[in-house]
Amino acid sequence: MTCKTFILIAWRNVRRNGRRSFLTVLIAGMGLATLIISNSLYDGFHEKMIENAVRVFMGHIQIHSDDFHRNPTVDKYFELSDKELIEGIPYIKAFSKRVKFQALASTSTNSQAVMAIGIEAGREKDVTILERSVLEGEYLDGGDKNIHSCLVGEFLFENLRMELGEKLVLMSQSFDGSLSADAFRVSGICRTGNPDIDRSFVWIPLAAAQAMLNYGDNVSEVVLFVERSDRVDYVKNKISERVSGRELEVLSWKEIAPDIVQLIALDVAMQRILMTIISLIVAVAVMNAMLMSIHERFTEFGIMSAIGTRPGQIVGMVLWESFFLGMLGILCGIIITLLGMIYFCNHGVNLSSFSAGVSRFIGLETRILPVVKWRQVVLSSLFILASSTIISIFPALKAAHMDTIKTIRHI
Amino acid sequence: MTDDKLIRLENVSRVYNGGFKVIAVDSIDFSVERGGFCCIAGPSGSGKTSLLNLIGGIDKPTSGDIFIENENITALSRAKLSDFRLKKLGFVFQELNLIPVLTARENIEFPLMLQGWSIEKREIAVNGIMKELGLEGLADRRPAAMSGGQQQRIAVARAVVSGPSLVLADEPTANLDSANSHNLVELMKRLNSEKNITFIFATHDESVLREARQIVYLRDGKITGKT
Repeated sequence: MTCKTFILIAWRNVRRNGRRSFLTVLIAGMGLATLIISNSLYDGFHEKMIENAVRVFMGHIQIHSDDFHRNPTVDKYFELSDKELIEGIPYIKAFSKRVKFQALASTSTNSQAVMAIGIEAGREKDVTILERSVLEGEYLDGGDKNIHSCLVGEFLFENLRMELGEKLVLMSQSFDGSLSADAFRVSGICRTGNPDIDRSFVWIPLAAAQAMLNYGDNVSEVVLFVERSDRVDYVKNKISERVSGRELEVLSWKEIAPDIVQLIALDVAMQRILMTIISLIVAVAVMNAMLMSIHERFTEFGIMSAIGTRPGQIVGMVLWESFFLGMLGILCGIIITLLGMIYFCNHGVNLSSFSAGVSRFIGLETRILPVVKWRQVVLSSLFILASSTIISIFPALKAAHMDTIKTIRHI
Repeated sequence: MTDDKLIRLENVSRVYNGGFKVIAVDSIDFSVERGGFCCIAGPSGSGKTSLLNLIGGIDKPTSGDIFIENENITALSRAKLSDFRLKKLGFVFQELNLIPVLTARENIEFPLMLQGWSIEKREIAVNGIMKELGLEGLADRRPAAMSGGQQQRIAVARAVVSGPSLVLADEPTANLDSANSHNLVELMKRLNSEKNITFIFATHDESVLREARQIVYLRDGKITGKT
């Protein structure tokens, strides 16, 4: 009951100086909204980066012969049946087999070193966005009659000064060391948004690549797309168990593209620094409001103390006041966040002016949309609330340990 | 020492050392009987408030002992003094007596709540004292919506609601007009006679002094006369 009365006094004190409380709440609210919106945009950027990395080429999981990822040579191949690969393993949404090799691509006038990818055209479109990235011409149809069609990256197409339908000769070393070559008609031009891929990739049917390298039914890479990104590690572990003892490496996108992981880790660190700075600003604003409030109520605390209020009760009352300010700040922050989100969800943040720099990470779509994670919202709110309440211990102690004589003399 | 002495001061001194030495209370001995109506009189700066603060346990003497109901309050810790003030004393200050965010009723109820009285007991006590002092009409008003005289009456009600042995009042009429001043003194006299609550005032108001049964005159921290 005593506590209830002090809570009542605290709440009425918050309302007592409405303008100051409003400004404090507004600062806390704006701080929280800044945190949530910036974190959501960061998360949106990260999701986009991951999606781009996964969907453009990498997939969630890749299976290779041992050491192929670090040193991709044509002698590292393997055979893995579909049944062996997916039976009994949940969450695998799609998979595709590939033969990946370095080759020299030549037209009648130009030549360039390229990365040739033999793909299962039908399955590849479920794993990556390759079909959707065809800018001009047609996607590989996967049938036998078009076994000598190929797709070429946009910049490679420009560098080789080609035309659609023109013949492109790929020359490479097969696994036994002999030279092999084959000719392909360019059926389409691809723009993935990743300049490294668009500059050097040629996609050909899997069968053509296997024939060219004398692979038989062997492949050099299997790429998988998992239903949910949080199940990647689970699926990876299941596959690793299944192929253990077979000299195969099973890698998740995090191992294949550690630069992205590091970039996200750096961003997360920046987010935490921002969170700390904003929380400190809010905490100082609340502390300032509390100090001003306490200074104005010097006599009041003296009277309370004189009639028998214990220091701990005064501390509790001041902390309740800052708690209320923090809670109102959170409410205000959520309202500002909702307004901000309405804008950002409709318009996003357009990074097109930085497209040259960011397209490698986020692809062609340079508009970033926020991704709201409730855990992040709750954490940010708690961080603001805790910092504003905890920092008020200082003014609270000051109020509780005022010299009663001095405060009474103010009368 | 006899049982009818509620308060006994023995050679009490209070010296402040804030840059230069000020002897606010100088070797004072006096006592007040239970049910007394005592005034501490003297000009400004004579040490009236300092002496009242010492009796109320808000301040501690530099030397000497203060006994209230045979308990030496100078030996009590800060927390025990808080409890002592809560249970045994009522305070009425010159002004700004009340907690501004609480209504008159809540202000009166406040010390009862601190003492842990049940809601029912509090309601009976608060209603009783408000009716007794004719304050029902002010119950839901906050201090800012009351006159100085009304605030002082609420402060008196708060001071006596829990039935303390002693009420200390530091110039309670200083900011009141003569009519309100008279009403307040009459009110305290009535509580003194009806409830046997001991009142000690610090004042230089002649109209209050006239009503006192015991007067202690102070000058420069020393007792210059007693009646």
